[in-house]
Amino acid sequence: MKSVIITGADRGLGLSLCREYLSRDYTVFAGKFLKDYTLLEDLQKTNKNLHIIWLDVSKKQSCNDAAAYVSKITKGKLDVLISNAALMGKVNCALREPDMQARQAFRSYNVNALGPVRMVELFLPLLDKSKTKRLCFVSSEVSCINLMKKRIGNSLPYPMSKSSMNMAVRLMYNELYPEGYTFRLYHPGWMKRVAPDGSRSEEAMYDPDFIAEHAAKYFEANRKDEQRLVMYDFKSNEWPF
Amino acid sequence: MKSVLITAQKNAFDKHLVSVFAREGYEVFVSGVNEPTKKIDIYIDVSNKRDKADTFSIRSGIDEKVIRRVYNANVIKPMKLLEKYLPFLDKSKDKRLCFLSGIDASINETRDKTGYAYKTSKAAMHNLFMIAWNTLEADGYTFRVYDPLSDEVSAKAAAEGAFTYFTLRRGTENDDPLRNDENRLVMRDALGREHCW
Repeated sequence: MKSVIITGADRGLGLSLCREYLSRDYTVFAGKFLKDYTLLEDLQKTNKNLHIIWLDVSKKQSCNDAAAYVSKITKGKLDVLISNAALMGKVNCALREPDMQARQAFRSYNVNALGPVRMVELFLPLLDKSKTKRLCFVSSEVSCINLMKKRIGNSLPYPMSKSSMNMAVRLMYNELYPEGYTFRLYHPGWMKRVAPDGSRSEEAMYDPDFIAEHAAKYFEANRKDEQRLVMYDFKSNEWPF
Repeated sequence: MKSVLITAQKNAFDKHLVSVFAREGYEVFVSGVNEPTKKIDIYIDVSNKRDKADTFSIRSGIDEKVIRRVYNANVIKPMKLLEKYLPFLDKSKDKRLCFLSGIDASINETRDKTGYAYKTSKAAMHNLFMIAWNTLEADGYTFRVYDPLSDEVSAKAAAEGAFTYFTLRRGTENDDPLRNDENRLVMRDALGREHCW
């Protein structure tokens, strides 16, 4: 049985990816971070292959503890790592508004860029033992520097951190692709927000379940051009980054 | 008299840059040394920290202290400086923002396995430059991003090249927006080459 770890799995795309991978007979390790969400626990009631792990990707010790737990269950192996956890939102960090909270940029960077790096570093010994060796990263169109056409307002840290993540993925790719690792970068689009009771917000265009179905196919299928590090969106469009 | 603000004069490139602008008749301000009181025509952020310990790869393990140190120098401090000096640039007719970066921090071009601290910090700044361009271009701001190529080009030559690149207007033809190179935010190095982000 194949195994996958998914960070930021409390709600939204992460939770929907857990459902997708369970339906594909994976052992799923779900990173839990939000105390007020119990949707993962609800899902676990009918899925014995779902393991919930407390995981704060901004802390190395937490990632290390997660790796130790997964290793114990899987006898030291992991097939797929999906880095989905992200910190976003308005944080009073804008160019033209007084008292720019520049330090907020590090908070976002610590979760959105360094979080994936910590996860890969600490799970490498498990991934090395898999034949699959697949690393998947949820990015965003706002990470694409060439196509950044927005003013962003007071949310500067999020797009900045996602560009940092893309760079980190490039450095990891340069080192690990020759060792047999394959990579997926994904722009999921604007998804409906999921509340603690599982209800969806009216705003946004896409349901996370719909996006997760597409993402899982993209993450799982082998490509004939694995040597190219590219970002795909939920319509299979390719994005420059 | 035109004025320039340079954010530091710590290393050889910064010092040469101060000298070149003074020689060419600019009123030169250096952050923390002599602060402007009225306007700035050209703003040059020379933040470009490379750390000797930034040699780790994903296999060898990430040094988070190095990463934090470099991020503070290359991202947090420049963001605060830009916020501080934008009001002085707003009073100028020229309004040019210049930044240092490195071509090895191009996500598209780098073939390196190391340099996480420098490259991820500069990738963040590259996106910030683009957002700043989107925000400020309508107010008349123009931008320069420059790699002094410190391993290949002497600090003196790189500063002379920077002066030329930072002060001259880029190609335009009959004010045709489709034939105006100022409409593109690009990174150029000390040899004059353009690099993708």
